[in-house]
Amino acid sequence: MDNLLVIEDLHVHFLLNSGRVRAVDGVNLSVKKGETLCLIGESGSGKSVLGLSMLRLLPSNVYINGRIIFDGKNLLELGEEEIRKIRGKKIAWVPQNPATSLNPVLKVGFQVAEPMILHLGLDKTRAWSKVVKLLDFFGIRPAEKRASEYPHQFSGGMRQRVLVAMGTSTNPELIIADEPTKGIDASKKVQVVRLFRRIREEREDVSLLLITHDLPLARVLADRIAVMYCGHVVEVSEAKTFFEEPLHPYSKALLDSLPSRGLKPIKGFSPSMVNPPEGCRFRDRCDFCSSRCEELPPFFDAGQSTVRCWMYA
Amino acid sequence: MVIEMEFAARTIRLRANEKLTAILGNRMCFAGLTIITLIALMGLLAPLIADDPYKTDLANRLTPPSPDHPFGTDQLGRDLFSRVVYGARVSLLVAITISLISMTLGCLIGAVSGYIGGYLDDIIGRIIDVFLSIPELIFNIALVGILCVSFGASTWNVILAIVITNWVSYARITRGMVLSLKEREFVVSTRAMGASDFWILFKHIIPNAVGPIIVLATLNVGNIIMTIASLGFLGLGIQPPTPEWGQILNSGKNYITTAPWIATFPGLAIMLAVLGFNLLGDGLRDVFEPKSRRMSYG
Amino acid sequence: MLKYILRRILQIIPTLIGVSFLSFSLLYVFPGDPAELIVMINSGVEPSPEMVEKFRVEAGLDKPLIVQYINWLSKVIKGDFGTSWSTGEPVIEEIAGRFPASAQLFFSTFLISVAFAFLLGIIAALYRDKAIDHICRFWSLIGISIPSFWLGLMLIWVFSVHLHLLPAFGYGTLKHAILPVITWSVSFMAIKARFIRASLLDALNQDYILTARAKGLSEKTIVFRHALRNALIPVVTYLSLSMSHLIVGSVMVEVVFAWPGLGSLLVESVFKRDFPVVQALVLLSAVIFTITNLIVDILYAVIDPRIRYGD
Repeated sequence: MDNLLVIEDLHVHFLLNSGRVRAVDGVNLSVKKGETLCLIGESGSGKSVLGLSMLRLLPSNVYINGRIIFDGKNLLELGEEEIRKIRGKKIAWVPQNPATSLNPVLKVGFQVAEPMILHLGLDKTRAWSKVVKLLDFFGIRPAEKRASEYPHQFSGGMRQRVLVAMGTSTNPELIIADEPTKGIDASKKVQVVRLFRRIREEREDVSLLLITHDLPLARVLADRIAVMYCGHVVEVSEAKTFFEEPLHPYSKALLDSLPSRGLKPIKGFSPSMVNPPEGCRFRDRCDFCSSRCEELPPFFDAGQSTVRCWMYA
Repeated sequence: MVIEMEFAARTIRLRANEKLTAILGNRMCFAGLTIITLIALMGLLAPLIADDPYKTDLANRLTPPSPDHPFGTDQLGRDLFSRVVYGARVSLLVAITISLISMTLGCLIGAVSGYIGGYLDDIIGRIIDVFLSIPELIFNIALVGILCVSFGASTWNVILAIVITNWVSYARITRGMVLSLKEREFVVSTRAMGASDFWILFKHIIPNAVGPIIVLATLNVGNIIMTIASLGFLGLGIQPPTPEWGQILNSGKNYITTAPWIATFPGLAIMLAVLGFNLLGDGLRDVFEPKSRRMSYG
Repeated sequence: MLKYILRRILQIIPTLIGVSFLSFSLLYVFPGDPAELIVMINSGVEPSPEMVEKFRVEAGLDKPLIVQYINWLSKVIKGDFGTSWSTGEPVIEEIAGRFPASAQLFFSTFLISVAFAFLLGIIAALYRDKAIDHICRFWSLIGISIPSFWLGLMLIWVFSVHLHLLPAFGYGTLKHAILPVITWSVSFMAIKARFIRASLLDALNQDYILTARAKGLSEKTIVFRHALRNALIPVVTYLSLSMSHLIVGSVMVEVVFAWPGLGSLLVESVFKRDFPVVQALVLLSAVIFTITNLIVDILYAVIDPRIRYGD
């Protein structure tokens, strides 16, 4: 499969009064056409920042360096006008927090129609009919009536569907979903899975980048898994192999911490992102660490996967 | 217990240190503090830099600014520069006094009311509403007027009147903070630990409420200075011959055609003083209250 | 929603009662026999005990406080605020007579200030942290720190005394209104501009703005279509609340320019010891404030779709 988007040596640092937070510290990652890639990591691992940086949605006090190649261009070098043409049109963002991510004073239908009107040049009537079809497709019925309502009249799950509808409306090539199951009860997660499967049904060749810490969700939806820890990507594997045989010690520990596998906690604490330790950042918590780990390992191939761990040198 | 208190003290000191650095680093705080310090110094060093503000010199009435009299003289020949400089003492001292009294009164009432809750809180809440519904200046003017009739004109009238109208701002904010903090987890867990109400109120709730109160107090002093000057301008405030900026402006009003300098300088002084406190208050607000938790100061 | 309105109306009743009682009791709160004080003020001489007693019974001041309060309240509700101690005319007529001047001053100032405040506030929020934002913010800060009475005097000196362009005081023609309106507008506009800017920035910090940006909308669209509408809700509320300044918010400006409005009436009455007028003005301003708050709350419920279509 071809690569749709390639991230090369991306650094994203936040310049705060208390220091420089190295949220993303040298990441290489690629998203293939038509695949579902799940970016896994704990809070603070830098995964959301990574996602936001792809669309240049970060605030102005950040330092970004590196390349994000999409459609033959480096997204980080584009001007404001040009990046806006990509946002919502070729790369769509589905935000977390359905409760606050919709404008409370604008009709839902209008908000879903906005990217279509803006990017596809549709007039209001045509856009509206497309909106109604979209809402209906994602199970928001009766779509005609619901489109004229306001966000607070929708339940949390419904709002999430609206956000997804908004993201798919312009037929983008890549959809980035930020923490789609955050704050959702375990019993309702099935709906989220169904929602994303539905996207696949409609558009087979769209690439999905799911940013999440929800391993069970990833297991069900992902084609490939990328694991992030403290600003670094530490493992990239096919989903199947990942869950059967995780390579990186952190991945192993993550899976062991799942309820289904024993709920073993990972010992120690994540290091500070202001002054991260030299070398491999998982060192202090790793059962397998050695003196080599004082130097940051490069990526090693291990079958279909790549791992950032000296054990696979 | 001892360890706990030591830990608390160290945390407070650490936090205070952090805050202090943040405050001094903030540009608005710095500008505000500079202005206030200059004015305070001016008041403090008044005897050194200025002449007697009460000395009349009828031979030299209404003279324009000159090397002898940098701000000119007023209708009784008094040196205006001295009067403005000594006026700083008057304004600052009275304003700070009023602020401290209203703060103590208001915060105490607000905190106790909010913490105890129930009927008492309902009643006090209503009283606060009633006081807040009368526009401050109107209330002050009416009160000072009535007090003057009862007691005769005096600076204490001004102090009492402004305290009466001012305590509610503190009460409202304190009560609001206490009400919201009361239900937060750390209070519930402290109560579960067996702490007494007194302990909780003073060691947990009040320290958390301190930030917005400090901001309010700072902005409040600026407001009070303006109110004192307004009352002075209306002739209701601190009476002559005590030099008070607003009152000097009042006499300046009558001589605006012949001696505009009388009105110019005290007004500038008022503006600078209020500006200083507003700058400081705004800056402190940035330091103490991240944008996500702003309070409204009414 | 009707329930909401009814509930709010019921809520203000205790406040109104409290305010009326406060106004009523102003004269009694301080030491000194009110009867003696009143007679002394009215007659100008030290009254004899018989005069005081006679007056006390006549005016019903010998009855218990509650009874007096109820008597007074029943008159007030009908609009009878008593008679002025200085002119002898009914207080309500005096107030009505001065009202137009205050209203003119207020509405002119309001319109001009709000227009400029929006301009300043939106510019400051749009160009946040750039030079123009700092200028606007500084201007606002100065605007609220300037004593309006001083500004008025300075403007008088420049435009009246020096340039002979505009009259220094009085009331009657448009020319008379220019300086007072400008003076009051400066501080009025400054306060509003700060609020508008803060409200707009608040809205711009919300999550749904990130969503809008992620959709590729231009900054202008984001501010005017997404943020402003949300920011307008608290702003409209806030502006409506300033309406309550109508009655006597202009005290200082009116005194400086000898503008015959309610503000100067208050000050004059205080000096003349004309207590009924003072009392009436205090009460009226509080009542207007409370009722304005009520109307604003209801308005809020109407324009915010969350409340309109919600619970």
